[in-house]
Amino acid sequence: MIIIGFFVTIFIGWLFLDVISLEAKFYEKLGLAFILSSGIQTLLFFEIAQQTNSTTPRLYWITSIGLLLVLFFLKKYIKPAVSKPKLQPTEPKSGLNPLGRMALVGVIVLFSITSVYSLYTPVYVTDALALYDFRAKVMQVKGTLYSMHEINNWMSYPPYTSLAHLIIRFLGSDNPHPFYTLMYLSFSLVFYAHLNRYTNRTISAVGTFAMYSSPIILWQSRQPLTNLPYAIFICVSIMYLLLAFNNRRTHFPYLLISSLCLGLTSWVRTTDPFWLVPFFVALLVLFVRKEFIFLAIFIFINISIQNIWLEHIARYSVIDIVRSSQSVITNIVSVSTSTSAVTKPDSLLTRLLKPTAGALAFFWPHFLDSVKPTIFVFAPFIFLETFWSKNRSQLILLSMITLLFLSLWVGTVFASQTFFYWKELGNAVSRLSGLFVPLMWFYIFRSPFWKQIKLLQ
Amino acid sequence: MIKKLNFLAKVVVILTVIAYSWQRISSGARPLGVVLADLYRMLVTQRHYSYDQKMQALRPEEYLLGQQIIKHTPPDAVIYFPPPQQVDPGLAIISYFVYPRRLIFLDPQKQLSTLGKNGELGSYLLLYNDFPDFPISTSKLIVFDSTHPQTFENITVTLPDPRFSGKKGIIRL
Repeated sequence: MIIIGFFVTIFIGWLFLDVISLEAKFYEKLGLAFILSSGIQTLLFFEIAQQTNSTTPRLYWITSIGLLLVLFFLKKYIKPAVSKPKLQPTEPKSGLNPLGRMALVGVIVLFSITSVYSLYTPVYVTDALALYDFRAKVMQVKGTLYSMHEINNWMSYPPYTSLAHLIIRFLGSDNPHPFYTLMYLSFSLVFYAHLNRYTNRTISAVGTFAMYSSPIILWQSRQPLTNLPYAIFICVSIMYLLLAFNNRRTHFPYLLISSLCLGLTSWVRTTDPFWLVPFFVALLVLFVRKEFIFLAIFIFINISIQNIWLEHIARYSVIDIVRSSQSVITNIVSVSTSTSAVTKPDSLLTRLLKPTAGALAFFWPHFLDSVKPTIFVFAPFIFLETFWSKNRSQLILLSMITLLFLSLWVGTVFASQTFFYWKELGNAVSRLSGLFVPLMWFYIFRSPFWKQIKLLQ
Repeated sequence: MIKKLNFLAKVVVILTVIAYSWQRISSGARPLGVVLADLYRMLVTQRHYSYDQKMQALRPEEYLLGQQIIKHTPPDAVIYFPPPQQVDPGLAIISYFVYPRRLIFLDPQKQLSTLGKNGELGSYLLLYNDFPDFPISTSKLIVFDSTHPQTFENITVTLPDPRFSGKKGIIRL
């Protein structure tokens, strides 16, 4: 059953990519199909389950087969109406030299090792047992969507991971780890394909291996947590956004994938502010280019996906929200009472600087812990690309990485002012910082610098 | 056309890449031994381990406690747990193992009239090390033991008591 479910997932994603007329290589479509399909399937399943309050295997099959039929119909009848985008100019075809082959073998070896871990280990991580997999277990036992409300803090994260786990349970397994391992492999296919658009196959292979072997993400690829899917969705969104804006006219299919992936980030984690960065960059570019229809579609897709979960919690968690807001208010009140003893109030600048510096001092070691040693290679490339290559697309990517970093900083400042336990969030910051790693590697290996190294030709 | 990079910049980048590779290889050498041992264990020696055996190795305390609770309470039991401040935060995951039994973590006032999320009252109380730290009369108390659980009937529990201190069990309310 699990194999059938896997193929259904791929097939749904593949048909969707055909419907939007995405021109891509086989392996890129394969990877992207799995990533997007996981989001589309869980979203649709959730929407239907909301109406029926049912979470049964039958509903899953009805949803999936219905989705397949609709996409098949769309592919057959609507496709001719959409103009085919031109493929991006790629590098002249070059073979994969022994170093590149070694890098790809390295990826396969790492994937195999991770798969053994994933297939063998049952769910044991605290966050998954307390929430993600617990919600799936409850929904499976009770057969209703609203039974997940029984769990404390059920609304703290959207149910993407829980629904993925639930579908895996429907397919006969209670071990969701392989899903994350496959997500990561799918992402590496997309990553390789994207690098290959800017550089040769050997450099792409080496870059993919460098990214794939990064400890933080490799570890996340065998843990049932939200961090990896979140990182994948935001990275894929940024990569397709760069591609969409590569030419004078925006490529609609790429923009569509970007907006869908960006929307899906809020289907994995709602509270993180990172989605704002690609969102506003896209709005700005589309506005400057006066592509207002694309702009409207981009906003519509993002807001629609975000609202699915926000509306659900607004409707069903009044009591829980009141409780949590009360605790937040209590914290704020207690903070203000403790500062009331100060006779001379600090200046506005001091009041802003103190938490800002405090947050940086707190999260920087955790951030570094996550992105090192990648950042040590990334750092010289910042100067190299800015002053030597001066590539506009690289500049946009660097700006987005910088803005993402600032978002993390601002988010930590906000947390430090809101939650009394914010200093316990170090591990979470470290895990979240994993999303910078693929982007850094993408930036590094898109550089034309590597084309000057004979070993990589 | 790619601009030629000056020699110094090339040297800097290549040195950085060498330093990165060296760091990765040196930091990866030790975990490699662990990975190989893990693979041998997962593929050969512990290949046929059941879910129970794996969970006992991964989360021994919570999983075993959960199994004992399942053994000695009905599926619809509602169990009062010590206030979160008095226990390991990881204890909350027992909810996962004992479901559909429900847990209510008491607040610091430790009132046994505390209602659960759906307005339910607790029917059991967890004996956990030195909790409950207030006297309580019960018709049945079971002290967990992997081989021979001890049962006490119609007693008043007042900790510290050498019979129960540091032990885990379940008190029927």
